[in-house]
Amino acid sequence: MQMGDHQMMGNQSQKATFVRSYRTFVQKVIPAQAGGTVPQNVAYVQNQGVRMVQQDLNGQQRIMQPMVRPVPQNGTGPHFVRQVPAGQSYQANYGQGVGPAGAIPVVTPISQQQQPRTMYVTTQQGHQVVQGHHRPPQQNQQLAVQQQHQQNFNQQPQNNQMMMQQQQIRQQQAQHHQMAQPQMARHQMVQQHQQPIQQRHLQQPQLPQQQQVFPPRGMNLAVPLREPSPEPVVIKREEPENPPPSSSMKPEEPMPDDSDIDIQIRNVVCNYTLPLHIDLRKLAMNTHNVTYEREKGVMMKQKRSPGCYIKVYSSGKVYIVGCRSEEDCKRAARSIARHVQRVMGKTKEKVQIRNYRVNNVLATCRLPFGIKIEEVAAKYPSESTYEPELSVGLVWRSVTPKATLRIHTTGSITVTGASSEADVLEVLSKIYPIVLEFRCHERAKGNVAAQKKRKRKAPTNTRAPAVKRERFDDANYGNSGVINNQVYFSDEDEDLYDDLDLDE
Amino acid sequence: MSGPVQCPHHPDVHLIEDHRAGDLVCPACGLVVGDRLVDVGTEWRSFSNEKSGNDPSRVGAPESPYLSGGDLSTSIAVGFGGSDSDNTLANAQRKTMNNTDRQMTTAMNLIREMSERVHLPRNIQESAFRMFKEVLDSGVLRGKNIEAQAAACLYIVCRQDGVPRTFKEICAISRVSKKEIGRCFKIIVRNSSTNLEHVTSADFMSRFCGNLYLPNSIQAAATRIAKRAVDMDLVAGRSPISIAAAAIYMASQASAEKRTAKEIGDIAGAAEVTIRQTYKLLYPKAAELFPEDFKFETAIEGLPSS
Repeated sequence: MQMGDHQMMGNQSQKATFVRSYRTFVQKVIPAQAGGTVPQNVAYVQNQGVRMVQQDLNGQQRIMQPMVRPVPQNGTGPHFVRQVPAGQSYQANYGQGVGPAGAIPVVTPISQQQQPRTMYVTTQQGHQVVQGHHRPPQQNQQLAVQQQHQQNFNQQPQNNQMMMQQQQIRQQQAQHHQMAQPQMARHQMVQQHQQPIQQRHLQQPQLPQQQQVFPPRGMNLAVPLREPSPEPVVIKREEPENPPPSSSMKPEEPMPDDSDIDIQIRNVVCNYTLPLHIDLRKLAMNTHNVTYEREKGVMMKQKRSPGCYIKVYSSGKVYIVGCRSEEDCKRAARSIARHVQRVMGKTKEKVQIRNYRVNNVLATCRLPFGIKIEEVAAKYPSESTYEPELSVGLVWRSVTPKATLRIHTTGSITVTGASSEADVLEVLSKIYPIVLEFRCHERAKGNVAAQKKRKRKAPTNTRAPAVKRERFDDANYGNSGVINNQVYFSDEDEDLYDDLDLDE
Repeated sequence: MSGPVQCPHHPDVHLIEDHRAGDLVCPACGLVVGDRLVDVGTEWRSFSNEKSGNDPSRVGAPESPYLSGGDLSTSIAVGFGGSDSDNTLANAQRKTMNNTDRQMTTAMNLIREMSERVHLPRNIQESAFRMFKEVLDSGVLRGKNIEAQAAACLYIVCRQDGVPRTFKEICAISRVSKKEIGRCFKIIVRNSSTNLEHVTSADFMSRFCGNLYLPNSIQAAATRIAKRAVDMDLVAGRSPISIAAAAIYMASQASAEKRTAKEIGDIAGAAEVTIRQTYKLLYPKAAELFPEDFKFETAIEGLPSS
C-alpha cells in the first residue's frame, strides 16, 4: 500500500499529510475517508510518462511515480497547498542547512539561530503544510525537507507505515486542536511545532526525510482574504523563542506580527519549442477557443483549465503566459503539445518539448511590517535603486538568483523576473533579514480595513488589479501576463526584457 | 638655432619683449636680440556695437575638448532664406562629418537650449557636455532618443552639483516624456556607478517659493516643516516633491500670503490631490511642525483641514 498522500482526519478538519518527492511537478492529494489508508485506485495519476528515480537515504532507489492530482477538498479554506518539488526547499530556515542527503536547501543560511522557522507551502489543491523536520542535534531548529515520498512507503515495511501513520494521526489531531485557534496566538504555533519535532525524532531513524506533517491551514485567518489568488506559497515563520534583537525598532513598538507571510505566485511565463512543423491553420481549425492571425503567423489560444494564454507559432515556438504556478505551466505546456501532436497526426512518434524554459515568475508578498526604504537604499547602494520620482518602491536587483524586487514602504514586495518558484523563495529569504533590519511600524497607506474590504468584494478581479498595478510601472514593462483583461505578451513590447535582464 | 636667445654681450640678462614692434630687447645695452616675434593673441577684439556687421576676428570659438577635432574645424551654418547652394554645402558637410561628432554637436545644442530655458549656468552646461561625451563613448545609450539622452545627462549633472531639478522640470524643458528620461537615467546611473544623493525637499524649497513669490520667512518655515515631517515619519513613502509642496501649502496658509493647492501644484509639478493627501498627513501634527518663531497670520486652528 502506498502511503497516502494525505489522510483525512475526521470530518471537520481537512488535514493532509503530504509526502513530497523530488522533482515531480504534479501534485496529488487524495482524501482518504477512513482516516488511515489511501486506496491507490482513487488516485488520479496525471502524468503517466513521468518517472523519476530518487535516491533514498539508505541508498535505495525509489521510482517515484507521478503524484496524483489532488481532489479539492471542501471547506479547506482559502489556502491551498501545493506540493513543490522537493529540490527546492521553501523553508526560510536560517542558519540551517538541510541535513539529510538529497534535500537541497535553497535558502541561504542566515545566522539567526534563535529563530527556527518553518515553511509552509500551500497551494490550491489542498492543505499541505511542510513542516520543518527536526534535526536531532538541534532541538529548536527545524529543517524543511520537502520531498515527495510516495514510493518511500512502498518499500518500507508495512508496520512502519502504520506506525508513522498513527503517529501522524496523533500529531495532526493534536495539532489540529491547537491550530484551530486564531493565527495570532503565536505561542500555540510554537507548541504545535514542537510536537511534531519530537515525533520526528522518533521517526527519524527509520525515515529520516520522509514524514511531513501538515497541520491544517484553514485556521489561518490572514489567508481568507487571499482566497481568490490561488496557489500561494506560504512561508510560515515560527515565532522565535528568543525575539530577534532588532536594533532599529524602538522598545515601545509592538512586535510586528510575523507569524505568517504569504507569497503568492501571480504569473508564470514560459516558452518552449516543438520540433515539428505546425500547420497553424489546421491546428486552429481543430482547436476550440483560438485566434488565428495569418499575417503574423501566430495562433493564440486561451485555455481554461489551468487558465492561461498560449501563443503558438508556425515555427513550433510556444509561449505560455498567465499560469499561476510552475506545475500548471508545465501541465498546460504538455497539454498543448499533446493537442498539437494529435492534430498534426503524429501520435505515433514521440514529440519532445525542447528548450522548455520558464522565463518569468511573478510573485507578490506582503510583510506584516513597514519598511524604511530610504535607509535600505542608503545602506545597499549597489543592489538597490530608489527614485521616489520614478517609482513608488525601491527596486532591488539581485544577481543570484536573478530577480528584481520592488520593495514598498508598506511592506509589500513584488518579485519579477525570477526563473522559478524556488528562486522566488530564495530571493525573498535573502531579502527578509535585510528588510527586517529596517522595519518599522505598519505604514499602511490608507485604511487597512478598507483594503481588506476591497479584496473581499470581487474575488475574480484580484488577479487583474494586482497585475494592472504593475503594468504601468517602468520596470515591469517587460512582463507578460493578463493585464487589463487583455493578454499582454512581452514579446510585443519594444522594451522586451528591458528590466528583466535576461541573458541573451 | 641654439636654445633661448640671449644677448651676446650680456648672456645672463633677462630680455624684454616689446609687443608693439615684436622685438626682444636687451635692457643692458639696448641690442635687439630677436625680432619678428609671432603674436598668438587675437587679431581683433570685437565689442558689441550697433555698427558691427560681421565679426572681423578670424580666430574662431575656443577649443572644445568634447568634439573630436577640438572644434577647430569650420562648420557651415545656413541661415534662414539660404539658397540652394548654401543648403547643399551644409548637407555636404553634415554627411562627411563623423557620426560621433554629429551626435555630440546635436547634443551640445540641445543641452544649451534646455539650459537657457531655465537659466542654468555655464558650468552645469559644461558638466553636462562632459557627461554626455562619456555616455556617448561608452555606448550604453545607443539607440535611445538623443533628446532623452541629453535630458538625462542634464538631470544627473544638476543633481550632482547640488541643484537638483525634478524630472518634471527637465521634462518641461525638453521634448521627451518623463518615462523616457527616467529610463535613460537609470541606465546611465547603473553604468557609471555614480553615487547620487537622494533628493530632499529642501533642495526645491527656494525655487518653488521663489516662483510663488513667497517671502523668505515662509520659505524657511516650509523647509522646517518638511524636515520635521520627515523626521517624525509622518509622510512615509511620499515623494519629496509632494512633501515640499504640502509644506509650502501649510506654511503659506498660515501666513498672509496664501496660495492654493492648485497654484503650488502647478509650480511644483505635483497633482493637487497629492498635495491635499500629503497635507492631510501633516495636518494632525501641525503644531509641532511649525518653527517656534513663526508669526501666524492664521492660527493653527484656522488652517484648512484638507
